[in-house]
Amino acid sequence: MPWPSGVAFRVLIVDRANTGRSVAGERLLRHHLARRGVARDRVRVSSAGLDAQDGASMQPLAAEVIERHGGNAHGFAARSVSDTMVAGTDLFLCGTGAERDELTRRHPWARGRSFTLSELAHLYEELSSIAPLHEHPHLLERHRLERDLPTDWDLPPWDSLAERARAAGERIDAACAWVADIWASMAPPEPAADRGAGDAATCTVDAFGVPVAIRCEGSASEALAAAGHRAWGRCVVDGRAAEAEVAVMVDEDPDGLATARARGTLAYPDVDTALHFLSSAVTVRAIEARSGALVMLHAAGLASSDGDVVGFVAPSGTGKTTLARTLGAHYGYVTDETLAIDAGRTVLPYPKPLSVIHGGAVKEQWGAESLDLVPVPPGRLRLVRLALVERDASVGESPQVEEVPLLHGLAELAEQVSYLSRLPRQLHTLADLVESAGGLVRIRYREARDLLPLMPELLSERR
Amino acid sequence: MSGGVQRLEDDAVVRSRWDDALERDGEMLILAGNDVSLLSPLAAEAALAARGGLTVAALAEHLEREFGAPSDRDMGDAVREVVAALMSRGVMTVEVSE
Repeated sequence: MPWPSGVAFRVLIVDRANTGRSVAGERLLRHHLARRGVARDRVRVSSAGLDAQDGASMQPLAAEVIERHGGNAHGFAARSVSDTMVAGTDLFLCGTGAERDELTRRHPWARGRSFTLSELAHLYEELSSIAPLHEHPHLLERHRLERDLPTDWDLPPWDSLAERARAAGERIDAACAWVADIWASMAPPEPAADRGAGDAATCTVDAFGVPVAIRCEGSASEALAAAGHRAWGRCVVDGRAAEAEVAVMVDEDPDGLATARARGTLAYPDVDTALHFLSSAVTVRAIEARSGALVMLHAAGLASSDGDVVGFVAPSGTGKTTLARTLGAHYGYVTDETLAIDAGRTVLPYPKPLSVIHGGAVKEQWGAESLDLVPVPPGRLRLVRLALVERDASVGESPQVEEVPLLHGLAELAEQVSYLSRLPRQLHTLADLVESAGGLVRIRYREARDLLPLMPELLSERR
Repeated sequence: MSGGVQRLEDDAVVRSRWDDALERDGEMLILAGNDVSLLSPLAAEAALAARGGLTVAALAEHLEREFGAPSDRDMGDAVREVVAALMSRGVMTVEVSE
């Protein structure tokens, strides 16, 4: 789907003078995105300074840092942050918290969208955001406010000190590589991506009605395909023309991986990492394909044997997978991440693999079959209840349930909707859906298993 | 357009815009771009009053007529705070007169 702005996601890196750290960030992030096949019309990275002298050259130390890490240091002139620049930016990156605070003080639009590079690296390490990129600032800000993040990767000015500049360069490069890996898996696809004639997809999976072709490549393609088939078994479909495609490679050869990344393939040295990013990529491709047509919620879905579905809405990283896995032993597993609903309240299932942490930042992907989750019944699935859920250790064994006033509930729900702005009648469509499902309830619970006794009541239709 | 709230003068013109909105009991849920905001009755009135553009001073007078003057602070400060909040959510922009 074409982007109205022509650019999918716009990033502005801000420091004081725009001659050192921000320039290095701009050029190294561009470098790592380009190496992963993410073109500038999909993620645009630029930089500016709070107190820059327009037209100033970059510091020689910045050029040294950029070139040391493989970036392009040519063709640069400093810019001061302007209102127009700020209004056209989705996410701001700053060197220090003080710079972030000054940016948001001068430019209110930057509030809730501004992070230090250190914060961004830590937030992405803790949080598995599976969502289109433009939703990330909000998801990240929510977690930033809830956490006391370390500032060990903050980037103070290097004040012409070569050793400090080189150390900062190492941090910038590592953080940019990490962020580029994540963004590459969730950036919108090239509109006219041509993978070449004769390429056969290893398999096609159905993500809430969107057939997504997955093509496995590399020396470990067979192992990847086998593991992928186990994890995605419930979503695999045959004989349907794909609406989207994801190419993924596992190979030990770094040069082969680099070449594959440059053409937009998700390329990794091991199967677990590949499956982790594949899950994000398939989900986001499907969301892009159905934007404007379906209400797509960050929610887990569980179905009764009659096909009635309860949606449990919660932000990423707050327990939806555990909830789906626990309740899915008794009720049909619809999804643990993206609940897609059409205008008639029909739910389109997406029984994707469930991400389970086994140490480290990469989660293992477990298929619904491996976890012995109940399949959804044949026939139509229909949404009958929507609940905003919060895990709260202070709640007793009995979850706390309360009705939420419509506008307040919609305000919270809207934060968990993908591409709300593209839906016809936008807020009105969301309000119609909520009211047709009997309004919103908030459920605070201690453990996912405590929700089981609530299910019969939640599944009994309100109107 | 100016983003700097600290520069906001009484004769600065503020203007609000949004893509969709729901109103209930004086509150307003508003979608501007990709951002959804739940506005208090005061902020909702400010957004509605500024649809066609008006000065900060006129907005302060309007809100004082509707809600009365705040007992603990200057009305101008209160209005600037509302404007800053609405700007941060993409609901309001400020045009400084030449």
